[in-house]
Amino acid sequence: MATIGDIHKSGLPHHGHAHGHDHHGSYLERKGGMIVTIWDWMTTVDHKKIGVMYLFAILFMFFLGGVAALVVRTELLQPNVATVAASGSVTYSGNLIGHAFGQGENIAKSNEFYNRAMTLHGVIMVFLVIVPSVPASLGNFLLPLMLGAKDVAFPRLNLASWYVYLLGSIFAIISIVQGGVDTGWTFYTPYSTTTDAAYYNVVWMVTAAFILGFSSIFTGLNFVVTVHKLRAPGMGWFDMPLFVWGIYGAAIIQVLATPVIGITLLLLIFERLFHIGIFDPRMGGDPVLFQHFFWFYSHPVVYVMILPGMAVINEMIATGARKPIFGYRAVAFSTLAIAGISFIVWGHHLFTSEGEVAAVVFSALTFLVAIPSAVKVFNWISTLYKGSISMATWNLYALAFLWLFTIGGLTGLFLGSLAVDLHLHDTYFVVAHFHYVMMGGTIIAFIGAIHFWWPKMFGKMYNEFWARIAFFLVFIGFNATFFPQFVMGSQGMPRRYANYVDVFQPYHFASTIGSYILALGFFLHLFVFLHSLAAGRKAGPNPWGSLTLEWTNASSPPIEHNFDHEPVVTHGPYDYDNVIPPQTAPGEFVLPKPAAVAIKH
Amino acid sequence: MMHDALSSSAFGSLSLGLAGFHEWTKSLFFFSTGASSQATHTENLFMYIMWINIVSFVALMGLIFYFIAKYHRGKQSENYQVSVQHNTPLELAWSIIPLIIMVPIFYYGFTGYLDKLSAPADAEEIMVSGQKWNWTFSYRNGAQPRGDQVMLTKSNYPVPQFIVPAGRPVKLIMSSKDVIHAFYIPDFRTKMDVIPNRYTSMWFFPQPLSEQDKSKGGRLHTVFCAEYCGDYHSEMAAQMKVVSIPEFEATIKQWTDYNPVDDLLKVGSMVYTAKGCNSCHSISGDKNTGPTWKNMFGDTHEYTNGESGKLVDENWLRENILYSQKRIMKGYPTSMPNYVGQLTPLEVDALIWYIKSLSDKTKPADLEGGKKTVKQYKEEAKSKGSSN
Repeated sequence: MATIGDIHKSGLPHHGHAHGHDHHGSYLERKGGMIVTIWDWMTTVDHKKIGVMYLFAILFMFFLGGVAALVVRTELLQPNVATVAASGSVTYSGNLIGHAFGQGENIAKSNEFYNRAMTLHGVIMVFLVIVPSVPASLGNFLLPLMLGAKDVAFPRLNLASWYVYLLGSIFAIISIVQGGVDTGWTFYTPYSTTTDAAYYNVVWMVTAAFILGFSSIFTGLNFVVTVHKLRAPGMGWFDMPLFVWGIYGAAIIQVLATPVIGITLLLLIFERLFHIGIFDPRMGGDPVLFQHFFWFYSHPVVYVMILPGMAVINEMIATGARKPIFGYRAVAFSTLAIAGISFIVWGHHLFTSEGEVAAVVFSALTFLVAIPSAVKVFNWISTLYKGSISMATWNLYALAFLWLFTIGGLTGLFLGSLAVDLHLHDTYFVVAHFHYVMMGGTIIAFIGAIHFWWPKMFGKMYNEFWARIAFFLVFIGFNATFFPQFVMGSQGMPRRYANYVDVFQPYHFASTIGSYILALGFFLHLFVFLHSLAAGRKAGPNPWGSLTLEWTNASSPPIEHNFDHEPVVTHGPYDYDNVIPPQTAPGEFVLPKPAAVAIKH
Repeated sequence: MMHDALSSSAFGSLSLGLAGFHEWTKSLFFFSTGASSQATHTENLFMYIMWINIVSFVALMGLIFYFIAKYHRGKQSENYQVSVQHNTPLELAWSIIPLIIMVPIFYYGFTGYLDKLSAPADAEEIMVSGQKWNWTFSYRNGAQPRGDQVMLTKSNYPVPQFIVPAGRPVKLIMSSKDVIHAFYIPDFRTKMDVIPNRYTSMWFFPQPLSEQDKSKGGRLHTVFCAEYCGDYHSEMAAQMKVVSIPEFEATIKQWTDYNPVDDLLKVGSMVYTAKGCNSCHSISGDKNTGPTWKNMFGDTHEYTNGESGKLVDENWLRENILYSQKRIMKGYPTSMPNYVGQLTPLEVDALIWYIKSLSDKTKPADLEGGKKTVKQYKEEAKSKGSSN
């Protein structure tokens, strides 16, 4: 506690006259030559710089995971067809990736290559991209700004979390360089404790996930304390932007659930290295125990992934419609409800594991967790009512989120229903469902949010026209990729298949073409961002006319200490009915007309 | 009459349109109508949820598009207005109504699940064993499927065909020899994990055969492995053939033993496919997951435990079939399970003769012992008596 008090005394801007500078430079301003600048970034405790470093690292990992996804989709473009020559020797066609890597004559090698690419995609996207995506990059950058604070509660811990993330990534890359792993991102035992027995790739990769967990715990802990202790004067819990609520809910889960996966992965490593029988039945272990341990973390972590996505959607929808979020308190409480219930639904990943009647409890709880998610969607749609809806790229992403997340959420009903799940479990239906939620939810929200806060982070505008084109490519590509997977899933196509029977080919073909369109959209976004950094128009402090503190009280990009004076909160984060957004040109943003009928609040 | 009156009205054509749409949607998501009573239950529940999905999605997206059309920023001066920030009755309604809609999904999901789990007492029990990467089956009389193997994918990976009786409940009692697999029968809309060191079970009621099925000699269903299990996960399939009860009884009786007049070489070639040896070992000389059997006999190899130069003879083969994990050839994975207890002495001897026959080093004269028939083999074994 003393530490927090110290920060209050020494660090916060309202004691900040001690700094004695009238002019503060942008946090991006270079401190000197190249080496000085690099050293400055490497040792910075500034939450903004740490956020930006996370952002670029995560986007790089997203690129790697995306390449693995394209490899997977390309392999599945056609089924493998064997031609048996008169001599009895066999050649395979349709095996594009196998041929590309000189393995066209050997289906085992080609399947193995697919399995490694599939695992690589899953591990990178889950542990290195989606879990840290919004919290570590945008959360770090925005949380103190939105609360009116100078930094997070523990700036050094924040830097430590970044280096722990880097260390984890290095372990993952070492594993990949050695040939990668073929366990699937779920590391199910006893496959994961016995595969590649002579090699250490699996140990490296599991250790990477173990280390990344600590990065996640550090960030979560930091955010929980920051939200509790560093809110600006006048900001009560219900005056916080809903972004903060979402990040807070996710942070609580990170702190409470991540230790469980830590110990589970450690046990897995012990089993592999020292042959201690915990999960492998040949040594007296229980393979289903691993699934319980694994999902006890990994189901809550699904909400670590989606809550921050929902968090940024709140900000974009409110600013984009220039409306208060409808039912603010319902959304805030839904966040906490989701975080709470997320801990007791893990069993729905095990409906087919043993056929226990206890599954009925998990089925019921699963339907319960659907309610707060549905409530949020209803609230967001109602927020649009009588609004002034922006068609900027970031708001198109927010609206696309509503489309994709609704499909993802509704298709969850099939999977929560026990009898139907016995049919759909481990098929492409599940693959489509979680891509609609994780990618259509979190990644789509993340990409939209990067556009939304881009001017604030880098002080530059992006090219709206090309960004919109890219958006449409992503939206169309996404649906083309994943919608056919629902259909083939319920027709019986199991997941994690390197090869398939002919009847599924049209759907795989459509899905693969969709993934190429999707990739094209993402590359176009990359060029739009690079163009913005190089030649973008200078951004004003509040280009979208938002009311949260990072827009109203800070410049674009913010100064190193965030605010010249500690902001005092005088209006709610979404008080668009009464307040013209500060730091905007006169007449650029208007107040809504008074309601035709007087409104009782 | 009622029906006529309805169909002539606008409501009637709407309901016909909806019924058509219902059928079209169902045929999109399911290749065929379910092949068991539980499958039909699952399909009906699936379509109930599908309708909730369609109606909710269309309503919500309709609202979004309506709002975008009416309230986009270009219309700010006309339509941008102060509105309520919350409405407790509305918010309660949209929390409680979805909860009510979900109750039947939950309830029928549960009853359907119980139905899929609790097999009737008179069910035909079949033991299923999963291992990397094939399925083996064993019937109540000890019979194992023999003979027919099929190619489901075009990747030249043969999978076993097994039979189940039409019109009699079938219970599968399943276990794995290595990692977790899952037995998935899409046409029956059910699956269950197959776990090492533990038994799981599933059951289904194959519908009686139609005339068309009968003319084809039975009805075919595909089985997939649905739990990721490694290199040949996607090839680890099986074909289920639903046959009439008399044919089922006759076939498993015929499968209890090898034909007495077949010789050991023939039996060995049958074991080669029936026990799934062929999924890893070729007889053509091509390298597969395991070493080829072509010219293996009489050759020497290197092993990961440092042994080398040991000649492959009858004793070597016996030891490495029964205790495969003892020594692994260099360059090959450790995937082959120990076969001790899973092959009868007849099958082991037959396999050894068969492998011997595949080597160029074996002279035809050396194969005379393999020409012994099953009947002769059994008589000899009996005459050796309990000392053997």
